[in-house]
Amino acid sequence: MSTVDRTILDSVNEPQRFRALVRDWIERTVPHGWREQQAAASEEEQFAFQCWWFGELSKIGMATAHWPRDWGGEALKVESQVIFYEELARAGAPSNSMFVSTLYQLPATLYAAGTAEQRARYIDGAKAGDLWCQGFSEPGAGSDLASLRTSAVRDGDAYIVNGQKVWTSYGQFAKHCLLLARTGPLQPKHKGISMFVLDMDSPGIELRPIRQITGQAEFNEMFLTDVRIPVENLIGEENAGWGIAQSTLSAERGLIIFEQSERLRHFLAELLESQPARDSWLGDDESRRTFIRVYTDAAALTLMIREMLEQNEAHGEMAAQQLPVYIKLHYAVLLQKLGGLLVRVNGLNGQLMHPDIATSGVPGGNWMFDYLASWNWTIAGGSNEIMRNIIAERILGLPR
Amino acid sequence: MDIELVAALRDNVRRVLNDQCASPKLHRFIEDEAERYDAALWRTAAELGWLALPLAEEHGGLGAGIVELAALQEELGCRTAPVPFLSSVLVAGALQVWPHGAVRAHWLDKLASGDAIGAVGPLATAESGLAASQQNDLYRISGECVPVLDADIASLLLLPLQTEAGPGLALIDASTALDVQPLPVADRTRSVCTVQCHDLELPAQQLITGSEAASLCDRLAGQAQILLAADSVGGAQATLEMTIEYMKTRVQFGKPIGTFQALKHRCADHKLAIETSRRILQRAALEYASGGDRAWPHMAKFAACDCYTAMAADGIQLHGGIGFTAEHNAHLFLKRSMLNQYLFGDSAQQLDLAGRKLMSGEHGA
Repeated sequence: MSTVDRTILDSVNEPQRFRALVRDWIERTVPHGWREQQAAASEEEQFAFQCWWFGELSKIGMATAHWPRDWGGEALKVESQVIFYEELARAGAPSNSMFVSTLYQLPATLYAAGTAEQRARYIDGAKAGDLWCQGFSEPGAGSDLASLRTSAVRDGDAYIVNGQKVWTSYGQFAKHCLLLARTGPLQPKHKGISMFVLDMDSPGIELRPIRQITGQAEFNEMFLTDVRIPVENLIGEENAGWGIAQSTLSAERGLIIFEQSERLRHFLAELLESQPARDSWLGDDESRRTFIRVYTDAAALTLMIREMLEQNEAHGEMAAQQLPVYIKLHYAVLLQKLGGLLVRVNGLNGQLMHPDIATSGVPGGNWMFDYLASWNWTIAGGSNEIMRNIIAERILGLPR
Repeated sequence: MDIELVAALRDNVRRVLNDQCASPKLHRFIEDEAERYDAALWRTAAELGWLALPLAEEHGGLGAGIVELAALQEELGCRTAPVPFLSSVLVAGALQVWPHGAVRAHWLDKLASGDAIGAVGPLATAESGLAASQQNDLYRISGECVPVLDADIASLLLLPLQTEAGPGLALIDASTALDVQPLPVADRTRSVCTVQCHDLELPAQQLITGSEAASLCDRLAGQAQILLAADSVGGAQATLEMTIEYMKTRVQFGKPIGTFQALKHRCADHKLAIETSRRILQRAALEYASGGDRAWPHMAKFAACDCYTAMAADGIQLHGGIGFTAEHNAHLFLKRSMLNQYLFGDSAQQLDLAGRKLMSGEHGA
């Protein structure tokens, strides 16, 4: 690995200096007009750009700075992360949206259930920008994930995998995949699933892109035909994959929204200051009141995320159990409410698709695109309805 | 703020209310029209020092702030406790900063000991129908003020009014010639009245005007909004717990109704709304205490009151027929939630006030 320039990291104990260095670094690093360039770019070019951005963040140690030291990160304090995200938002800098699995699901999984060898094997690669994807859902196993049917049959020092996965984000660019497959077909459905690391260059993998309602093709169908996975790629015990998947999924539910929520906060504050908005729809009682509700929801989101991070800081990673569930559902609902409002108040412009404006994960001018993209949050990673089941059953204690 | 102190206070209040504000007692109170507040519980509250809580130590108080008061009010809300705590705390708050020492000295000890109950009008002078005109050292006050919380049981009333020098705020001794009429509000756990006066004479030191009155009014309104938000979060939480218990035991179609997803999801949404409004409330109290962002009390009020009215309404529905009976607690929560929503500005008003403050940059960093 190339050496990290620690100038910015080493200034975290002086918040003003840290902020100034971050701001200066962004100024020097983020290319002007990147949104316009990226909007017109092919998916390959977008991936190349994301890798470049990940690399730039890595050079100053910031790509994985939020990881705990156990995960090989810097255990960057919450206040410092807030400053960093605020500056990214202020500058309209790109976000690491393709690297969600790499940055959150992978380390959460490996440190919950991986062996020391597995951590050593994959973490440095992830820090260097190896892209990971997720192979959980299947055509017949969405919300009822435990009914998945992709099979993994032990054959000597390997498992032979057959089946079909779906919603595999950026599978065409990924180096590895966290795969759930059935190893115990005779066991009860939750007790016959194992988790594997699948190398995406293995023979027998076929990917077909799925076009989404936004026009993008982030997702893929993945067909697996007699794919060999070496035994050492099994994570945790055989047939223990369900529990591992649950804990890693629930842990990252809140974490991946941290940067989003900081960017959202910045966006909402700017909107409130925006003269065109004040001269038009913010003067309308109903629209302004809806906006103030969303603004307040966003404030609650920030408070819940801070609280979760504090719990994790105090009691170890993934200590917070209930907050990630609240955060996921609350964020999805609020994003959709906001998206619908912004489409409506922007009139005809709100109806237009603007291929010339790339999104950075929070709303920003491409109103209909952002609204449509909000269903990604209400469905993926446990739909709103699954989140409500979890709250009702695991938190409120209602019977199944 | 001391987190352990607040937790201990909560525990203490909860234990007392479990004993003194249990359902049968509460229902006996509700049915007795002659009872305007729970005098026995009020005496206990005074003995335990709850009423002295907000007062400075020189007045025998503990110098507690909004965070502690909100914690106490939240517990009162859990039980829909019929005591004039909110109005008395607000009047005590006004007295503590009242510019005339003699007035302060005369009333603060009485409020702290529970011997005097405070009543409070709408904390927005534009909404008061009272007008004062000055003659030497006296003011003459006429007109009507609605709603005034706890006026029929109070010894001292804090009422907004109009004066020749702009907005005013008056402290009026209840033993003067006031015409107080309690209103038949559905929520029997609180008293709401109209107050009329005709050429009432008031010493000048019992009235403040101008920016002094306007800023005190605004400050007290913020406190009222936070305390009502706390009462609402407590009430919503109690309604949810009661409803969940019922759904675990009520069997229809051969299983507990709590197994039905259509009902579960509603409870999950109420739970999330309680969790978010509780956090807004806690932050609002901290911001208020530090003189920070002024939009927070409004955000706390509408978030908590909307959460409470939705929960209380659904609380009756989820209980089915039994929830429609007077002997059940469900309607007590609903009625209190609706009054909370109305008092000191409903959600539409809070949203507009929050919007105005956020857009005028009064929200700080």
